[in-house]
Amino acid sequence: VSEHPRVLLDEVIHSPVRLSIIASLARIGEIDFAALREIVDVSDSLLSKHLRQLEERGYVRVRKGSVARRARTWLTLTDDGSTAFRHYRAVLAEILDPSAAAPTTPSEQVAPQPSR
Amino acid sequence: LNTPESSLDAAAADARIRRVEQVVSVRRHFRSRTVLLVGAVTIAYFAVMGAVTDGRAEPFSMIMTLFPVVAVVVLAGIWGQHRGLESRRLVTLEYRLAGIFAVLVCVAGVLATVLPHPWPAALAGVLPAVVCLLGAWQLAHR
Repeated sequence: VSEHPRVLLDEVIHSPVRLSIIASLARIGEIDFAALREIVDVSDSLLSKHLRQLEERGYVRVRKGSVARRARTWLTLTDDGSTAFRHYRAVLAEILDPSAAAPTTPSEQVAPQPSR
Repeated sequence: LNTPESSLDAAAADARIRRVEQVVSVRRHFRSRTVLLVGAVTIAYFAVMGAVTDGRAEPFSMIMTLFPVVAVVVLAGIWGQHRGLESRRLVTLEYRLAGIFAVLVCVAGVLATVLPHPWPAALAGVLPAVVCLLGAWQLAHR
């Protein structure tokens, strides 16, 4: 019995705020914490909470620095994060259009496991 | 997919990704277009400055003196309100561009005074405008 592709969706990414974070970082590369907060449109504390989860999972790299004597926090997607997001999008495409998307087989699952 | 842990279904997740990508795209282009506008306004400013210095637009001399101050204040306000996609590379780039632009505006100002005619003055204004053009391209593509 084949499983529905939804079970392959990475649960770490599959949350509204974390998905927005990952999608932003995948598009931008690197971004300042404050700029990301404006894009995702959440509070500092909520963004920090979700970033911590993504960092613990190894999807996001957090770097502290300063520009013109102002402290800044820079965020980037790790290679694991990029791979997981690509996989997530492939699974989404498969769910939304099963006829068009390439089937996702276990051998293609280069991303980390969907849930912990 | 609508489990307690996840309030997203596949279509909503896909729509969210597209929305985020659109927001990112708008932000990426807003700053580059603003920089392009600064370049165009700079050329126009120096053209009018040339007309002022050769006596054709004498009544506007006070406006021409105040304009850079007002423009810097307005631009700083816009820059503060519309945060870009601030990576370390972009922040460094913006600082460098602002520095080079400021130096070239001074050079163009001297040239426009030495060459009191709208066309040569406008050509002098092209110097800092080129920096804006390069900056806009970099901001749009990095």
